[in-house]
Amino acid sequence: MSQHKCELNFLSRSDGSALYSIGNTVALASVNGPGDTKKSNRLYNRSHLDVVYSPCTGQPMIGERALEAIIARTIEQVVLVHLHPRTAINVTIQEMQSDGLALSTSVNAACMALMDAAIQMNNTFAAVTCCITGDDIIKIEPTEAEIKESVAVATFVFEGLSLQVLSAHQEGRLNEETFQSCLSKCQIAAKDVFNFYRQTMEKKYKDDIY
Amino acid sequence: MTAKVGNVRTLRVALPGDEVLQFNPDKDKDRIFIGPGLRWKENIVRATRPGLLKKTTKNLYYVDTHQKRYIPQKREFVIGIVMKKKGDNYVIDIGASDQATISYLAFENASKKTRKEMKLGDLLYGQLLVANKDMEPELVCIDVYNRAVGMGTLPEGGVMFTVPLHVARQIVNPNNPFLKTIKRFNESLPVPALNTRVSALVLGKRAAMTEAAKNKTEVTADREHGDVRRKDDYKPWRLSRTWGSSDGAKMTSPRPVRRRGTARVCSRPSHWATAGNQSSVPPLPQSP
Repeated sequence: MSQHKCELNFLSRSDGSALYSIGNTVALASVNGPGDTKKSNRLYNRSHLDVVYSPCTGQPMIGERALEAIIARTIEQVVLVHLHPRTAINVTIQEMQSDGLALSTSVNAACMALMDAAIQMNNTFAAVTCCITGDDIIKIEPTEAEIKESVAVATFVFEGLSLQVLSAHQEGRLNEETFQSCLSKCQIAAKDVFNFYRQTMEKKYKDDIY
Repeated sequence: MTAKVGNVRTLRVALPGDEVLQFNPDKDKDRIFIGPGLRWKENIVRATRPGLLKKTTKNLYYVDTHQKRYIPQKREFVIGIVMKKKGDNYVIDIGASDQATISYLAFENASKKTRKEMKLGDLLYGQLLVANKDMEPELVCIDVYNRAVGMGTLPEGGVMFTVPLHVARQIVNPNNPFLKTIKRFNESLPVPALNTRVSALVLGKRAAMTEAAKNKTEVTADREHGDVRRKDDYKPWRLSRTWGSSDGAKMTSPRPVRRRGTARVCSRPSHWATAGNQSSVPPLPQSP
């Protein structure tokens, strides 16, 4: 498993932000809200969630829009949107460095940024990516080169309480047996990620304990 | 890791979704109070925000969290900026997702003939009368007895700055060392509010001294608090001292009736103001 690193409150002007890295992939997530928004985004019973993803080079294209959609669906399941009707919560993710784990890094960055902004959530969430090589070896959190040589890549997002799957994303073909073993391996890896979250939060609040 | 200050005990760092305690109102006889950052669902109290889980001696649980975005709460004192005039109301920006309103009659001694006139950009220190997720927040600058008790427009020539919410909650405590330090350099007190804003009337120390010398007959040096102030001066920015303390004028407002055997959601713990650090501050330097 690659090394996770996180710096909270990285941006001074946003309500919450986090710089998150898994291995050599780095993403910066910023959360603003619950704040005012234009009329078309104002929902009468819940807060509008907006996710924007921009890659490190070039314009956001269809691939980035797909990532936005996955992240938005994941966040939507966790954030208590009904608490702030007619507002918007904006999550902006900037990819800083890319090494194949863009999705899991930005999901984790988004979770840390949401926690930094103290948005009310019923749960935490963490993403783990794995890839399967031609001879059926599962690699957790591979590098870009390893992904290129692999048969399939799968990313799972788990929730923190009972490690249930919130979203799953797969590229390439997997039979059910391999899929299940991928899932269980990622689930075990997710526990470490949640422990890392806790350590990061404890570090943030340790100065306040007197 | 548990530390106790006053009535408040810090239990641990909680993350969203963490189970704080189990509470079944049919079985459990001890009543508990659920403060901000916690939700009670299916007989389990869980955290919804990351932060320090705290418990008071009166069984009030809450999560003390670092936050930059203000979410209005009823009865909180806030500083707002006058944005525009809209009919009989002023629209005030209090840093929340919605702009607040205040009626021109919601000031001390204001009537339809002697209405309160405010310019755009004026600062206002008021209290939230209405604050819930479905309605526009509404401010007032009077209490239930129609007294200003320190609320109203803030004087010109000051400076307003923003701080994160957890800092704002700490410096509403009159014994906060930051307040005491800033008081040494100012003629008047800074006005801390609960909405990420602090306003201070900045006059240099020397200016404060000349001002004091001019009004020598009226000046009393308040040894206890270590600042200089004029007698019978009833200005809005003085209120910050009496906020939550026993000697000053306090807002009185009806408390909601507590039902037996139910977990109640409190808007803000009343012990918050006493939770800060208590430390001494060096005395005011002697005037030349």
